[in-house]
Amino acid sequence: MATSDNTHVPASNVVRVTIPASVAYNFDSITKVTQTVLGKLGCLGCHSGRDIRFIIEDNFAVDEKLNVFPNINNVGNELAR
Amino acid sequence: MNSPVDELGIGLICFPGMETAVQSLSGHIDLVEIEPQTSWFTESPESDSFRFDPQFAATLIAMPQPKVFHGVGFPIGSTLLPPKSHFETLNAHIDAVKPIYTSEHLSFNRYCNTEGSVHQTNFLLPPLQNQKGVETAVRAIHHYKQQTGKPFAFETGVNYLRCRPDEMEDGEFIARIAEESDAYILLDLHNLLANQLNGRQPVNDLLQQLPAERIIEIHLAGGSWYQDYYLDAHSGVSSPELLALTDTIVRDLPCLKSIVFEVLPDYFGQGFTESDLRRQLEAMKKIWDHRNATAAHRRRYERIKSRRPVDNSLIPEVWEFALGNIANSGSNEDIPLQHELLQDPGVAIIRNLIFEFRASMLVSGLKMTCRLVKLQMGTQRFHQLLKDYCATHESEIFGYASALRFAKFLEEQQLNIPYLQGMLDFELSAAQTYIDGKIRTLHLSFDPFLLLDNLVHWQNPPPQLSSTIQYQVEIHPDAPITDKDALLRFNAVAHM
Ligand SMILES: [Fe+2]
Repeated sequence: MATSDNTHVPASNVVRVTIPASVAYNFDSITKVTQTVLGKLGCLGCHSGRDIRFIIEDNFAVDEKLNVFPNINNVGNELAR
Repeated sequence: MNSPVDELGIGLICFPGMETAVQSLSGHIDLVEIEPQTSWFTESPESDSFRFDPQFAATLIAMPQPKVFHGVGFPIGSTLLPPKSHFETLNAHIDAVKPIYTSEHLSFNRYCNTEGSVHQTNFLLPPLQNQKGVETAVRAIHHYKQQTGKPFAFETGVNYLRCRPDEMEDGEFIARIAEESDAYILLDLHNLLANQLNGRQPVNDLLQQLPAERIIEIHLAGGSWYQDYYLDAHSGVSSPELLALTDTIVRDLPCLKSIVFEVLPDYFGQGFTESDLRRQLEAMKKIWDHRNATAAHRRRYERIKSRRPVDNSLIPEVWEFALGNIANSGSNEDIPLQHELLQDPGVAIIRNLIFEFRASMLVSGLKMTCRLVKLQMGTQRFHQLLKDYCATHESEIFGYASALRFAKFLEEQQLNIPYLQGMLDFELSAAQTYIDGKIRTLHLSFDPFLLLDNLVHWQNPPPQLSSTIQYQVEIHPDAPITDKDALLRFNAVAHM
């Protein structure tokens, strides 16, 4: 059954999800990557450059046959190196 | 007169998500600058009311450094004044965090079309540089100061357009606004260097035209090149060129109170590290020690007025509509000003950047939903979908409002993508919970963890993932959790 902890509700700016305990999942990989699941909900910060959040999402490309491959020439990949 | 501001020292702009970096480098940071609206929310695209995030405010209050507010989203180069509700929220935020002063940008990001409806550009655009442009900014600054009761500085903006032959020179424009509004100047040297590199007034010539005693703050940042343009990207450390330039400039600034570094949290983990940040702050400290080092009689900057003739016949409302409409990919070649602006190669840059801003907001506001759609449609069709959306839907400056509008659009497309509706509900519910702190329960016909696991690894979810089991997913605001908790944590604000 879902793990629930309503007594600690107000804490910080992190959202948590509870799900049935029987679910198999890879906790580490999900936690790591979904830290930015929601992105910014507020106003954009002040800058006049390229917003790399879109570019980083293009680090993987999906072709017409729906094959997924790393987009090695993407700026986001260059930044990450 | 603006009240005097005390000397502050070296600062850093702290976005939601940078708290840990600020805390661990606390010894190098004398002041914390905040862009308040980055932690504000709106309830819907239609809403004009805002709320600030109390948790982030509490974190800021707990920091020992003095705070300064640097507004975003409601710049003072505009004929359109911010709604009353903006100042209500800003003042509540000011009451909570107690910044020493506030600043905003000498730019505009909204315009009124010929039918009288207001549109957002999602990008800071340069105002009309003539005497009427000066008066527009002066009016907006007076309004801002009157509404907040705080000392006020305006920031020198970036401008990717070419110089127009009959416009006021950049330095003269800034100087007149500062003098006529009795405001301080936030000298963004990275913006001014970008302008110089892109063909506008050289920084040193511009500084000769400024009233140096009004410059109380300097912004530094890092940038990058894109199609022959140097962008104010806030993407990393400052270049040696910018640091050297700043080192010579601060010596002749008699009233400088702070030097503040700007970097976007998105670049942490993308090559920019905490030790880069430390090195940047240390370099700034050395520069800071040279402030006001030149003897008064030898100072270089003494407000030399520009003698260039200026065309004052154009009015800011016409300029805002022309440039705003073009930036939003409209074009009316019959209108001479729009025709003129369309010849400027900077317009294509602005349009591309606006598309990336909007697309970034969508793919981060609804990250897993967008990934699912991309996996099911392919990159090309997904990009086309984003372009179609941007061409037909209004821009939003708030992330949540933007996500809501895009969610509706996706529903209308009837894309027939498995799990799409569930994923949308999941991400929107999580966003709402982040904003209002209320627990939500969702019922899904699939296991969200398995779906997320696929999406995280860029794998198309297999059809058999679908199940007759109903999954009850409780979403609640974060609480301290232990490793034993079978909980998925994720963060609602873009983070390192
Ligand atoms: Fe700035």
